[in-house]
Amino acid sequence: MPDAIARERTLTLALPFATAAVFLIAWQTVTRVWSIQPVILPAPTDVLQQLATAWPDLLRESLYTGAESVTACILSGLLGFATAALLASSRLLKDILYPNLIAFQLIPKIALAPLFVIWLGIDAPSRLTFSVFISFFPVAIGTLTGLLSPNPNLIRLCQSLTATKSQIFRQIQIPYALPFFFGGLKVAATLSVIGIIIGEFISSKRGIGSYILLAGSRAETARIFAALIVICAIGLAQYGLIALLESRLRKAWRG
Amino acid sequence: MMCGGLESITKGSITIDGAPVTGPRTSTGVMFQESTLLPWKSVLDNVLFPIEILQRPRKEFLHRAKSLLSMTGLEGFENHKPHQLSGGMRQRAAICRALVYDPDILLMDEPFSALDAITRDEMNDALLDIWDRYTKTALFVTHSIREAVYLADRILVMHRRPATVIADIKVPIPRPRDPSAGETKIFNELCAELRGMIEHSHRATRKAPAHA
Repeated sequence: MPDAIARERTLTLALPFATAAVFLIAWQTVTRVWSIQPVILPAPTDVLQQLATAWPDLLRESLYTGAESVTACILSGLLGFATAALLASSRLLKDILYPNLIAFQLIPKIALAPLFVIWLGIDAPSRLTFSVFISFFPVAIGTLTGLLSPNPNLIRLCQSLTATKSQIFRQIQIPYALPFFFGGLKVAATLSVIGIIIGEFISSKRGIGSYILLAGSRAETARIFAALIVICAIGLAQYGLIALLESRLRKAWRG
Repeated sequence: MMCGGLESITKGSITIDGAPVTGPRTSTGVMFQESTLLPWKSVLDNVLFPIEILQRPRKEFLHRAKSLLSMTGLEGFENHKPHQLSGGMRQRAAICRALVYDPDILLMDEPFSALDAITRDEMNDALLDIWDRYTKTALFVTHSIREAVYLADRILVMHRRPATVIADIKVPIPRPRDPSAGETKIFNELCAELRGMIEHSHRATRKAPAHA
């Protein structure tokens, strides 16, 4: 029944948009009916207006932030994968490092942001390191889970064929880990933006983070909301790129 | 696992053609309860997977892989993915994979126990067919007495805990065998005899609660 499938597909697409629309209309109505001051809560139309006038500034700052968050996301992917590969390579290493990695993850890392300024200064390396520090973890854990997920008998089959460790890694473990890796990378895509914004709050004179701080100090609430929309757009773009890369890879793989 | 050289030997020795097994040897084929096919590879690529691992030229084995697939009734499914096949077909592909590099010994660890009874019977016949064409020694682990009698030339009955051999029986049923062999008197007498041994061994285990 292709009709039913098409209807279902339209619904899956339409429902989130409809929900967002209802929410925005409610927001607009509330601010107008109770005449809430724009400094406290600007109406969606105020935010749109702000976007329309401030977009050249926002675009310039978001390119700055976006370049750093994309870099941080890529670095998180590489570091996360490398960490997982290291832990998966030996039972002993995993036993030694894994509990420590979890403990390390439990540190409230946002509270450590000022430390990175002390260690690495106020420039891009400090922000990138901080951002990678908070976003590589989901990639590492996801990829490790994936690398260790193949059926043990499949590994035995390879061993019975005198496969080397690297053959098993490339032919079995990596393909099994790819979906997990991309799952982790999608989480990292959102975390890396947060990491860069926090870094900008603390140290930068540029980027969306410092733009928000400046707007906040001037009580330009609508401008802050406009900047939030831009941040969401950066995160979505990163997420979308990763999803695209994943589906391309999957297609190449499955023919 | 020990016979495949995948686990070290706890006691005694394992020799194949007089040579002790100290590690994996490339002339042993293995099969497990599940097909363990790679989900992202086509059936043909799965069958040729051992060739890839052994880094032998794919071209030389392509013909063999295809003839194995057609012999097991998988002709026309070469480019399907494992998830498009039934459980029995997947297990047949796994047989092809175990045979593609022409090993002299097959180690089969309850290869058909996850299949339904009818498919299992079909698989047994397919296996007999394969043995008729490619003479291989197979070490076949099963919990089905009828399967053991139908397939084997020699049956080793194992005690459970400790897993020692309690009987070594030659199966006097002539080959080639077909399902009608299962109706014969000698077949059913042998099954009854084996069942008696296993039940006796189970009773003995139950009397010794220290092992329970």
